[in-house]
Amino acid sequence: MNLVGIGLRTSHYNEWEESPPQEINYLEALSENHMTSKGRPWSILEKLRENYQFSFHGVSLSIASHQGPREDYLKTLKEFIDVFEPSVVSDHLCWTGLPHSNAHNLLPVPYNEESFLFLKDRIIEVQDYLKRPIALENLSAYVDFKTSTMTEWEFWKKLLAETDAMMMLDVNNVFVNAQNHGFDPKIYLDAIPQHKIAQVHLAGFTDTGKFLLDTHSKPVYPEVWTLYHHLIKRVGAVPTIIEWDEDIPELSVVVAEAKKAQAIIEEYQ
Amino acid sequence: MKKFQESFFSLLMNPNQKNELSDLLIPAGKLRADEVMWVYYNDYHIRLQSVLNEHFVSVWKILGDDLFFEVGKKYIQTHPSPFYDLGLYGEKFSVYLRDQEVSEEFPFLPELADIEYHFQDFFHAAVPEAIAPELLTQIQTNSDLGLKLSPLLRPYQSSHPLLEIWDLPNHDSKNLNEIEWLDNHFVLYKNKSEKIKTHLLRPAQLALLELLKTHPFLKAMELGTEHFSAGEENLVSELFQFLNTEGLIIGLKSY
Repeated sequence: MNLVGIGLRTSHYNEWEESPPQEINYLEALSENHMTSKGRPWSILEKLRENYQFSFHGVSLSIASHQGPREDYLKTLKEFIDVFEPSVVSDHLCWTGLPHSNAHNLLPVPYNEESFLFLKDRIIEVQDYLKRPIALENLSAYVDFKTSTMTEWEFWKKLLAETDAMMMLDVNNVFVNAQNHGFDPKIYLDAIPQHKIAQVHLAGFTDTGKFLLDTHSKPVYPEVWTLYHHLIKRVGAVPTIIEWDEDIPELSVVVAEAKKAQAIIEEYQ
Repeated sequence: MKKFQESFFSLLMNPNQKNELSDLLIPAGKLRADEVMWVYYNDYHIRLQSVLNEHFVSVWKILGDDLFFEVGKKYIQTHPSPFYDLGLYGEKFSVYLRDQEVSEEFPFLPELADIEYHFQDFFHAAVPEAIAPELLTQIQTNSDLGLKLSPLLRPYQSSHPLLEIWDLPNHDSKNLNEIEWLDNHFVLYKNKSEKIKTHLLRPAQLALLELLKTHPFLKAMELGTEHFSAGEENLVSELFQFLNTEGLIIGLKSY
């Protein structure tokens, strides 16, 4: 059965406890929302894991931080994933701030040899610590750097070829970056090897008039569905998650988006 | 990588400045180079302010949008987040409010912020198991034994009606002037059913509770009963009934 689902969000806890939807079989929990909690966020995972397969997705690994990931973070994450054994553990290819000053944002790095070598070592360290492969997600970035010597997809292709890391391929982010930085998103998607895609993210963005902002506040845009079609046609069924983080609607609305993804996967099976 | 990240972070915190990275930025979309770091600056402030909004709903209600956001902005500028978990941000907001002008007009604000922060803190905490009732009998005879109370039991003793003020956001039409200005003695706690609740106590009950946390049981009772007036003996048993019913006695400790 294809793994298609949605991101588990606090605002849906009551609905998950009272009438969990049967149309999906896959949930993605935000690691930071659960791993330090021993209250309801923990107990709801214990309950839902009986009927749903889980992946864990983080925002604070900060694998590209010049100091490397925080040890207290890695320790807590490892304890967390050892308990729940999710099918995928992912975070972002980014850094989130300086020591003792977290920007709580996904900050980009230049796509060049220095970043590549740095990240290659960090990926090995993190995977050794967690004793499992991790998947890293492509960002929506609002700035690129003149010090970049590769395109974003060339960088990913090289990183995926030379490390054991998998990719959490966010199709919405590919579209947002393509619009913001002026490239063909299909070239990007076609560059990612099928066997290195651990999971796909789909979400909505906001058009500010000057640039596209990755807000996860709307349904998936038609242009992003088109790209998802393009991807699935080439790679076949991949675990897929709908993300919705702002202006979150009722659970059924988010589930309906997941069903659209399910239908697209079935179309190519 | 270190130099790049320090330069980037410096621009993120103060997009008006220029540094060695400024000329190397390629902005997204139709953004100008001098605009692009504002996207990250604004996002930083929005994220941290949204956590303050979520944690301090009653402080927000008291201050109103303009004043709350102004105080929040200054707090964010002077308090970078040391946490990897954004949900923990605002841990010093209560202390910060003590020195702010708004606390001259609303002197209960720091206490109110303290309750609100601990409410979310309790939300994520595991409830310790309550002690078996039969084990409690030992404390009546052993003068070295005391009660171990749940860490999810936080006493408040205020000269302001904190509970009523805290409850204001649940009553759209009610405002501060309609609250009867009485002292509040109460506890914030998370009970054995994982519900976060408050419970009003008499001053003497609160005093006894504090003694029970720090003294052997028999000594605490000896000192504590001095706070009760004649005819208030039932208040002692009421306190213990409350602690037992809610599962807030979690063990015994030796002194």
